[in-house]
Amino acid sequence: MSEAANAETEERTVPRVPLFSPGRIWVLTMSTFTQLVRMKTFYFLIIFAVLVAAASNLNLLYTPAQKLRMLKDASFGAMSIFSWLFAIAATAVLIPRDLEDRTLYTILAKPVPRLEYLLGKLFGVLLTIGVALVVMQVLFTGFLFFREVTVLAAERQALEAQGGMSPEDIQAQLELIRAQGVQWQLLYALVAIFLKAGVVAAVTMLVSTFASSTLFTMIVATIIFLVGHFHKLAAGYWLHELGDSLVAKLVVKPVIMIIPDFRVFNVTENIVGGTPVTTGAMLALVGLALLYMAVYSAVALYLFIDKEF
Amino acid sequence: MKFGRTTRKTVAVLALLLVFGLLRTPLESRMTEKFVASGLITEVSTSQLSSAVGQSTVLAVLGGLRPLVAIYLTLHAFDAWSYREWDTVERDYRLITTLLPEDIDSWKTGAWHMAYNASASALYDDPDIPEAVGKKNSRDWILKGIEFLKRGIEQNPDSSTLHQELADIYRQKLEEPCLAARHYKLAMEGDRPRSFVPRFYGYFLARCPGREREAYDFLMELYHQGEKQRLPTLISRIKELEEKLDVPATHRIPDPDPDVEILKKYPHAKPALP
Amino acid sequence: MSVPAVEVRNLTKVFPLSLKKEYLVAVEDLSLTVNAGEVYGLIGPNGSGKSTTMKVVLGLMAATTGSTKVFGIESRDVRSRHQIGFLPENPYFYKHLTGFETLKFYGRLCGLRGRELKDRANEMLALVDLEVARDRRLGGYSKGMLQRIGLAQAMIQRPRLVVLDEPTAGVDPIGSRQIRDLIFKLKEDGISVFLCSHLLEQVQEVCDRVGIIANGRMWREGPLHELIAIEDQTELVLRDASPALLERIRNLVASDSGGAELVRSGHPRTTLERLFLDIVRESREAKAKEDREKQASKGAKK
Repeated sequence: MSEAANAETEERTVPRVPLFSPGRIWVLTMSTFTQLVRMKTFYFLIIFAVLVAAASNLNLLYTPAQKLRMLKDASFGAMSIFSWLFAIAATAVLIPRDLEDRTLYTILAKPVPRLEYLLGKLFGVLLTIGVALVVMQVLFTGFLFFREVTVLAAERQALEAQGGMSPEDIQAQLELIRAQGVQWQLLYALVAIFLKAGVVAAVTMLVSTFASSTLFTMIVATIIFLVGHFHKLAAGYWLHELGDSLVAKLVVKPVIMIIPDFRVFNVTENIVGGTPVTTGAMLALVGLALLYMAVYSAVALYLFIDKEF
Repeated sequence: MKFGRTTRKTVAVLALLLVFGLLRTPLESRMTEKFVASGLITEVSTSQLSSAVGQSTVLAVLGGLRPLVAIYLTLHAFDAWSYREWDTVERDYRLITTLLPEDIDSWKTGAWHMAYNASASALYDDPDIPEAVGKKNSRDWILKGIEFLKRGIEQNPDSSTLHQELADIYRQKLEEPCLAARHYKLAMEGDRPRSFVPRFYGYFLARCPGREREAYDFLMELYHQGEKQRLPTLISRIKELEEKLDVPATHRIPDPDPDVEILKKYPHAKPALP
Repeated sequence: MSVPAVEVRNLTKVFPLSLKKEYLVAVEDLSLTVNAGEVYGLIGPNGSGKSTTMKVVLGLMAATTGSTKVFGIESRDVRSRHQIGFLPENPYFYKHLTGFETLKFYGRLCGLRGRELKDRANEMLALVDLEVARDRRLGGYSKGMLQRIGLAQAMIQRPRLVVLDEPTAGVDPIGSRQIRDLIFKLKEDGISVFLCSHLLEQVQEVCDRVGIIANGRMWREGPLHELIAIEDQTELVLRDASPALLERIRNLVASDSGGAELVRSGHPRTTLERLFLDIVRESREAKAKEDREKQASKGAKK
């Protein structure tokens, strides 16, 4: 065989491997999702269901609207805790575990670019959080709807029996209760929780690309999470105390700039409370969260791309 | 060598994050300001909280678990109420409303505990306390309830409910018709007032010395709105004012038909046949 | 001539030691070639640089200097990995997946889909004799079974090169034999194999060519039969020789005017093992000498 023919044969046997493949990312995403689901993480949903059932049966002597609000606050609080706790723990565990089990070797020894591996892991965590949040939302909406119907019927009956109220008054009173019931707006609260969890997961992934252990990753990510909620508030105090000193310039200001500001994602609480939210505000929040995730993932990739195992 | 590369990478990562921070901070600050202005984010005074509930709770509050802390405090207050520990109830509601300043029901419930429950408890629950002291303590609790509601009104100036609650306390607990009327008026001007509020404004304005003419004109205006407003109290209050103001007989409203009145009160009752 | 399966040229890999300005030279100026279709064994004591070399070939590590190519493609290029199937030492895969799911997962990463993937996964399960454990989660697999499923995942995308790191470590003799038979099968199918092992007997049995590495350097490399042949020596292997016959042979050799001498007599041993031990001893002596010289030159500078 001639050299040219030989070269052609070689050429044909070298497979075309796309440098970026959404298909491979999806495979890694689904594998991460299956891994997390089979780690029995969804058992949390049972705890959640019990909690919501308990909260919806709390019969303190408060107004009907308050009863509904309490159920909403308890449920969204639980969803919030689950989402960020899970974002930190799951993301911190996944990459070191792959490394310890040498699964990482077998995956990276296949034609998988490291960017795809990282994105697959991140999206897997996000998919798990997303599915869990949707299930929780459905469960919670069911309980809230049932509670709302019961409370409204009882209130209507009580108001009519009491007498002295016009039908408009009764209607207005019932409207106040409905305002705390099932509303489309609650979905925005769910989105806000998810976005915050996404940023937390991206930050944790960045930490895990340079951390030496899972525990270290969890601790550092939790500290960043907590500090990210009050550093802008604390900054005022520190900078006031330190003035224009060298410490202020070299330590406090850069630290504040580097750590994400999570306060802006705390809109969930008031959306649940009934504060109206515009689509524009939600889009701004989505944009900011995506920006955070993109930048932190890019930095994580920069550290991970030539990391040696 | 490797060590140099690690250092270079660390510096590069910190620089990247710093640049990102510098770029996003103005954007985030603007967003936060807008969200605070539109009520989507509530800024909580942490210094007040930390002395009352401890650092870890403050962290929970800042971490987005504000409503959960409020629920805990609500349950705590409920417990304290059952043991009649009024100071604890008061402290808890002050914290709850710090956490959820927009939650009208919390302001209302807190004020109700102070002005009604705690004030009554101060009068009757401890037989060893001299009556005069009990009365003073009771009044102090009523005033606390009023002060509490006023803070709620500062945070929610458009709330008809809070003005109405305040008017109710002035009316029922302090028997101050002028102040009650003032707050029923504010309740009328607030957000979604209940339909009886204008009538109550008129009723208590009628009891406010020197404002009888104003009250008469207002109640007459309601009277002319039609049957819906012509409730027995409204008619009797107008009758009282007609006497007081010496309104000429031709301008007076007709006396109510007792049969019609009884039917209004008990719609299922059959009228007595002559 | 076809492109070599693996081509390592003057590879040096240096690791920093903590934050001090000290370095460990794991591999130094190492070159080797695994030709297409051959079974190549890299042997060396613990810490000799075998795994590091393998990781550089797989693109899991970058070379400090030098280059590594797989079928002509640089190891850092992700496309080179499509040609490679890798089985790490003591592999643990995702415990939550069954054998079949594991193969499907790795197959999908290589772009296999649908019927083709399913058929290939079943074919691989049959090849490594794990059809009965197809739907069992890997958490319940024995070490030998894990090793075999590892080999199956390495083969899933029909790679042209299989890299095996200590393929029989911790596996019982039966499992070890199964893996050896699989390597023979790969060889029959024309697949190149690059393996690292401590088990010299096994290497001697399956490898066409061997490289012996110690202290990060390649000490000897070549076809097995050449390596273990000693040109100026001749081996006579006798069966049922009586002591009297052996004595007569010894005397005959001693009386030879051509200068022949009897080097040793006894029962034959695994010659690769002997060679290996000699080289390790030699490398250690060389290292010790080097260290002594370094110390001396340091002392002189002071």
